[in-house]
Amino acid sequence: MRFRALTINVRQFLDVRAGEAARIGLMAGFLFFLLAANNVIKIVRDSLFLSRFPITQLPYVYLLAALLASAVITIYSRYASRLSFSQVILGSHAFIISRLIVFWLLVVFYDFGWVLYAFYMWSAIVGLVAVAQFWTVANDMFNPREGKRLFGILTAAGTLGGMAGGFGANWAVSFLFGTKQLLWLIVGLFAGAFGVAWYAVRERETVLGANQRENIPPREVPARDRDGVVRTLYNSRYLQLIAAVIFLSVIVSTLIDYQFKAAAKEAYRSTDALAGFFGSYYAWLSVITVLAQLLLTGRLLMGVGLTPSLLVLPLALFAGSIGLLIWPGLFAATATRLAEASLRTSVNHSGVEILYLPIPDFVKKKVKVFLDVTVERLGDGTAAFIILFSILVLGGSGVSLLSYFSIGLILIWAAVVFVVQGGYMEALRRGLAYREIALKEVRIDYADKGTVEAVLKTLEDKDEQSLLVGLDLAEKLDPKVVAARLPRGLLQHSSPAVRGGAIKILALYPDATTLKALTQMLQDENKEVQAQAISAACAIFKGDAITVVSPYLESPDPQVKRRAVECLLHHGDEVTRAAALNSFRKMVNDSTAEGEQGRVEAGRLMGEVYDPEFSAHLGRLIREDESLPVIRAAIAAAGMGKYPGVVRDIILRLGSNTTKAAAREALIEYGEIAVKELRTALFDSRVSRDIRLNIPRTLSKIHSQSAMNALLGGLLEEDRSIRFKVILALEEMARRFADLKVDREIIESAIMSDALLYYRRFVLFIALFGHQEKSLGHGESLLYFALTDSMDRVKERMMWLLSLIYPTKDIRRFWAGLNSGEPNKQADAIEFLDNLLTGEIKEYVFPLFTDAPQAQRFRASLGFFGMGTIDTESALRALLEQDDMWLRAATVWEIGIRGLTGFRDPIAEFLDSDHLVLREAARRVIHGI
Amino acid sequence: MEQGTLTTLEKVIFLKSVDIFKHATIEELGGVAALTKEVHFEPGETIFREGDPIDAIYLILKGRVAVEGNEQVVREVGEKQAIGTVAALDLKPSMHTVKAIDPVYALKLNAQDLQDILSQDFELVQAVIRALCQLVREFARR
Repeated sequence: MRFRALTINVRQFLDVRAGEAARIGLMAGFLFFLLAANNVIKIVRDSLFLSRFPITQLPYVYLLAALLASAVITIYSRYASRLSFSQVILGSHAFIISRLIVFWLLVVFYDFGWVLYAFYMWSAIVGLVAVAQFWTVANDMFNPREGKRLFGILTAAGTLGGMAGGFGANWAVSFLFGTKQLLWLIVGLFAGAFGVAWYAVRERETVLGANQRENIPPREVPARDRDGVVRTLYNSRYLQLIAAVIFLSVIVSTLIDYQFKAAAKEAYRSTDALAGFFGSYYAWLSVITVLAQLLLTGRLLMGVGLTPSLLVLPLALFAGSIGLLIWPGLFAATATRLAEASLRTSVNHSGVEILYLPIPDFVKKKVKVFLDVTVERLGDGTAAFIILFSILVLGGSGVSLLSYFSIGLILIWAAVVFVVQGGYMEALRRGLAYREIALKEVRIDYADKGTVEAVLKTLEDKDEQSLLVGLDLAEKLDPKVVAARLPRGLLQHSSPAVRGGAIKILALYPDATTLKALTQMLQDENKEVQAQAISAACAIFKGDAITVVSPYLESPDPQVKRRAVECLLHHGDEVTRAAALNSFRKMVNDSTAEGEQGRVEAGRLMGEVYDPEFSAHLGRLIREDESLPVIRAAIAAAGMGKYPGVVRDIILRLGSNTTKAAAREALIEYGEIAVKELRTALFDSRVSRDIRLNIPRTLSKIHSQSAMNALLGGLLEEDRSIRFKVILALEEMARRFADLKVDREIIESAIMSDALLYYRRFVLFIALFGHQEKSLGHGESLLYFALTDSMDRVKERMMWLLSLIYPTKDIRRFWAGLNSGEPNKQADAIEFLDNLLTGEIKEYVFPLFTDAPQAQRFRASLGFFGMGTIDTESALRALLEQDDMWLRAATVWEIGIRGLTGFRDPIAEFLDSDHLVLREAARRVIHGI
Repeated sequence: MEQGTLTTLEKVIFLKSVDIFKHATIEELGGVAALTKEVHFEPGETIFREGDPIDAIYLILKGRVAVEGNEQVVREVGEKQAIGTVAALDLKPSMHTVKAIDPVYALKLNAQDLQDILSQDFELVQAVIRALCQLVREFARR
């Protein structure tokens, strides 16, 4: 029991969550063995080499190691791609063990100088290959979020391994056997690594299967994916940047390593003293690395983010190099080297591993070993050239001069870190995009030649509906093109609607056939055709048509009469215009049921022809007419003519289902003119809520900064439904009209206000329900769902608001990933958001979406209100005081379910509530209590 | 269960458990609850007949109903399930005949009332669409 409690405490301290213990345990053990072996190798290698050869030989070893790396990587890549992943990992370890035994035989029985050269170079490559393989497995077994949280533990375990290796080797040399026999200790440690790797690769397969990640066998990889490592690097700027970070860091590291070893050799002449110094150094290095790992890595990566974490090492080395210039000697060299080695294997290493996370598996597998081995060796080689240049050209040992090179390289390194951050975000974006189906807006290009042909083709059809659709489309095309090719047979079509549609188009570019047909159509028995013919005659003959058209003012058909009035108002003299207006007034003032069609036509007329007198008629029709068709026609006409006096009347029609579509269209036609009235109505609590709910969408379709500003003001609206509509409208507006300015401060303030609302709800929710998972039935918690619904809605609002100040696509990708229901995609999405958000907004928003344990989020949420804790009773009392009537009612209900008699008095106050639901709930609960 | 005894909150609790409304908030469901009325059917009583226009959704509080096609029982529908949803949304005639097996208590939601409240509440529309999408996905997975 005590052990179990201890285990739980350790897991909580390390932030290891359910289902992760086995994975993290295996991988921690794996790295422990690898780095223990690596440290012992270094002690053996450095002691044997430096005690036998002068320090100036070291650059040649660096160079030879770089050359050897190219050969090794070629062989490794060739065989690795033919074998399964488990074969590669386990085979490599078996190969390393066998080579160690061979080296032991050569070192102990032959003692050739070249063997020490070979061992130095071999050990440099082996350590890197094994560790690179380890991180490839680790990246497969943990998603980005888990990686950020748990990689610190892994590297700490590895560092503990290094410490154990250092102390173990020191102790073994002092009390058991000589340095050369340490090779057997290395064999034992690699055997341990092999054993753990055996289980780790199996666990990896289980994880990959569960996550349905790609694990494509080599034969199934598409040709483009089989490109060489170099081509892959050539095609990826992001990989090039990672390579540059690694390359520069290794050069600096090697320069500092050389300065450190030169200072050590200078200070300690004998082999034993040198070995003792290296033993202490590796032991202290491990201690410092553990501390850096435990205290810095997680805090830096999660706290300040990737870029600052990647800058810690270069900044420390910059300071160290300055120190070496001012106080050259063993102390400064050791301190700089300790800082370099501890930070590189802790903070920097975890940061670079995170850079690999968004890279697809098949690319990662191909390039990671190349970057970690070849690029590192190239860095070593470059450093070797710099050292040789310093010794041979600049003279002396060149130790101090190397600091100048280091400082220059560190500055470039820091610059590359800034650039790689952008690449990381882009790679994450792509990763998320692979999982999203992008919906593209379809646009019909009416000017397209193919479209013209297709439309004209439909006009050869015999079916009336097809012809009407074709004529509608033809109207939107270039009339010059269409009129010339329009089939003249349409003028004799049996359908009046077809004849009318055809003459309408032909009137725009009339010819002899058109005029002949027009004369016949003015006498057409069908009134719709007759009306079209009047319009066509008017369009063709203009003022000359007055004589022909005037008699139609007396037509009993409202449609025909309207066309005649319209023609005369456009082209008539004073007398005929007065006659036309009289005719119009008769139509518009006939309020009888029989006069309905006349009023509709009068309404349409007012849209076609502008006259100041019409404003009063339109206002009256929109406000008072009982006929829907009349109201709609009047609204449409007002929009077409932009009559300023009737905007308010149209807005008031937004609240009705039967008129809101027409009202919205008209207000959009008004554009800027309508914004002021719309804004006033939006903020006027005396205006019906049904009307106000429809204003945001209307404003969103008006392309003007004042409309945008009106919506931004709506973010402060207390009614949450109206605010939600405002947010949706803003999002649409920002997307459609990119030239309009979104006030970032207002949006951020709205986001933070919503975030605080969320934390308030979350605190109350946890205080009441903790970790329960509820399903509803009679008598179960409505409050549980009221609170979760409310929190979900806040998150949704937040998403829309974020899309106003961050790239919409990014926010949508994040949202899609978060709601995918797949843990891996969710982790990717959260990681993406972590890197996308910045500043104060991140402080408020990110905790809403983070995958941190609930208890941690609860503490953080309490922190927003300066609270340490909250009990159930306080939570219920707080909820009873909320403005939200439904939340209060659900709280009353919850109190009833819990049978809390202490709440009788506050609940009794609701017995006289104005709200039926609250009254009902109070009555039931009081009765129950 | 007696007829006409449910409070608005009890109706909301019940509506929240019905698939089509599970994504709606309690405030939105309060609006729906206010439009419902409790109804009762005797065993064997016909609720819809195949080809009849559907004027309401029935949300079953208690009891079971049989959904019949070609005079055979296609499936049984029980508590917390809804009948007539699709027809009430697309305003097409019923595809099946539905009869009560047991004494059935249900909430009746008039189709026109549902259409009206949907036309006024965009968030409720989203919630219903989300629930329908989920049903379509589940159906596609089978």
